[in-house]
Amino acid sequence: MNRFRRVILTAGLAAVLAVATTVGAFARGGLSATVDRDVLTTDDILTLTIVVSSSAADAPKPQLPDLVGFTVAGSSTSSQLSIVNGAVSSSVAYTYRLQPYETGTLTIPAFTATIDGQTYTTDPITVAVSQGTGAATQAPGNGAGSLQAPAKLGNQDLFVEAEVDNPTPYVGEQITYTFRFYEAADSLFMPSLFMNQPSYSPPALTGFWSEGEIQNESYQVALNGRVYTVTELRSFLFPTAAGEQTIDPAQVTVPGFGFQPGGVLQSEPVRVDVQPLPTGAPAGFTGAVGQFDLQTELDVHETSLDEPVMATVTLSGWGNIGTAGDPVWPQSDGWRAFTGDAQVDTVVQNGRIGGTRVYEHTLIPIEAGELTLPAVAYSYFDPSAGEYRTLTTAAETVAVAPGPNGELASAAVGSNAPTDSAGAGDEVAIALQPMPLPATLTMAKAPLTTQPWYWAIWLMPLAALGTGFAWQQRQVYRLRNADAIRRSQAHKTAKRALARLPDSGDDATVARAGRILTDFLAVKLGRPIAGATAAELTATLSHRNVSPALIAEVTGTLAAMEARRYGMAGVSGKGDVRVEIEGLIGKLDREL
Amino acid sequence: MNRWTKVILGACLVAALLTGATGLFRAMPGRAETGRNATATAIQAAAQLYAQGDYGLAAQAYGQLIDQGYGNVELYYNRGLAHYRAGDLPQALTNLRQAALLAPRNGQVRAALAEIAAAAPGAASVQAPGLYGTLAALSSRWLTHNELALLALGIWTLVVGGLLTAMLGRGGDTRASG
Repeated sequence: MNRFRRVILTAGLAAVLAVATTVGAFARGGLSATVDRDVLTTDDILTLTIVVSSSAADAPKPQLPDLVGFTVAGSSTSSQLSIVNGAVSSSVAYTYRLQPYETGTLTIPAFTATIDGQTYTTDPITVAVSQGTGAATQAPGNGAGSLQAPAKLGNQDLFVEAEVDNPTPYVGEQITYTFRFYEAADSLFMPSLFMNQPSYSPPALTGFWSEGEIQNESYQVALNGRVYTVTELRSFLFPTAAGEQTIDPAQVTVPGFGFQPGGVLQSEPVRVDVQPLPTGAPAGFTGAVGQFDLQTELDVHETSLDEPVMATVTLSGWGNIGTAGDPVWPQSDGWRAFTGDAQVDTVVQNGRIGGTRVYEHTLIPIEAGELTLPAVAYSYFDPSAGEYRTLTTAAETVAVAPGPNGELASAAVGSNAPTDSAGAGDEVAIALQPMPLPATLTMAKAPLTTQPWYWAIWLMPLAALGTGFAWQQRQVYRLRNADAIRRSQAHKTAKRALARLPDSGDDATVARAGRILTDFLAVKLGRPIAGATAAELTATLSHRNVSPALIAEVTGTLAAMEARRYGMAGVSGKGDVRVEIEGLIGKLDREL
Repeated sequence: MNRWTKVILGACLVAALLTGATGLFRAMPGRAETGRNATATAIQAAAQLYAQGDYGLAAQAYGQLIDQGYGNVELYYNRGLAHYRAGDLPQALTNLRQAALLAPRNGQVRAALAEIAAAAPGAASVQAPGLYGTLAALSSRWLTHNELALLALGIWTLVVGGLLTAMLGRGGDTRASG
């Protein structure tokens, strides 16, 4: 083969390869297969990506054909599920890292998959492989390249870890929660070899709003001298409350195999310090956090009376688009506005959640002339800048021609909302937004008025009032009947006084006992007795119908005690005095 | 230690054990965790349905949370809006009125109720006639049922306390003059 023919052949081969690769890049229906390069050496890694798109939530996995001349050095899978206007579509990308071990022209056969009842087939892909130098290179775009060995990995066969990409987000700012499951490729108990695959239990996400499906990817990586297959699961979260929030541990349940028992691997809890949004939010701020853009578009700028104009407001960008508040359509003279529901389309791209919220406003001019549609404003918080921003569209002018009969104003001016229920409140509904729910709901409490203790408390002041009234009446009674009370209690008072007498039995004690008796008599008779003579006392007691024998006993006792006071004999000791006086008082109390 | 002291100490010990066991049962992680997870999932599902425009289903989802015994004003408010968006004005008003009873000073709830009531023909008022109805409407505009009950109890206590003070003061005067 001369040199010219070799040049021609090489050019032809290169052209064939380029065409084949380009053709392979275009999908047939919902299936596509692409490679990242078409010329490589045996040192290089070829990345083959097969994308399956389906209108079902679970797109089928295509069978990998025999890849002659290649070894599969690794694989990963990423999936995306989107729901637009209730229509579900999914897209799964299977990425294979292929290392050629043969030189020459290698062909990746066609892939076949049946999607939504229809069979799709890709074109074969041909690549040119030359001999390398033996120095392996990293495949481009391999996410595992930057993965560091976890500190606690050690030499474990199985390991899990969890982390968030931003531990101090603002309320409403997107963060990515990543859970990694490491399986040592050289382990005899590699769970991927088991009949039952490990099952993942996501953590409770109290305090967070989860948006989108869980993204998954698997790849192989060398850590601590061992090759691990890493399955990475990513969830996109939006904190809903400020303060320190904790994402509970996620779990992987590894089934048992043979004599090897199963087990549960649990990640560490992840703490997130959620910052509140700064104060000074603009008046129209409804909780949107991210980076957004706002556009308004009219379908026509010239119309006639009662002929509707469609205004489309599109809010797009990255952030909590699913829960962002709606832009408020401003009231404007000369128009009746009807707002349809928002069409929300969310996308996941490069680990970020975003999308669009599209609102269609039907505007009916009710006046002829040059009418202005005011600007639409929308405020959001930009977490990267740490400040609020307000988007404002330009005001639009619409030329409204008079009606077909020349009228300048519609009969609908001043009328109520349309009669159909769906549109009845659309003008109102635009200002009505749902409230964000707290992370923890509270149980409904029965009204206080149904609680017995509540009414018991009502009775307590009444009870206090009644007690006060009774106490007051008692005090008044005691005040008005002080003498009678004293008389009725004279016996008891005298007995108490006698009990308090000392045991000495001396003259002083006898004198005190005598005073107790005379005091008793004074209270009972209502007059002082101390200075009275025996005759006066006898007369007084007789007047009160006291028996003569008792009168004699009283006067005798008083005389004896008086004699004792003055050192005369005839009266026994102290014990006798007390008993004697007590007995005497008892008798007097019965007769007086 | 006498017999009564032992009885009282024993009763305290039994009460403490019962209280501890009850608290332990209530704080069992599985039980609490399951409830929290289910509630969080239900909240997310309801909000997602609303965001997607499935207002009827969103109303049902909020209703399920209410039926589980949760009583947050946000639940009634959001269910009211979901009913309203679904075109069910009577149910929307019922739920918004309940939200207004729970949070009478919440401007957002009041505004929504007023606007939707204005949009619903024949649903202007549920106020009882007469002075009582007017007072009830006025009080319910500012106070919740429980706040009103506590206020009434406070006024009752003050009135009776005043009467008691006056009565006892008069009694003191009587004694002094007596």
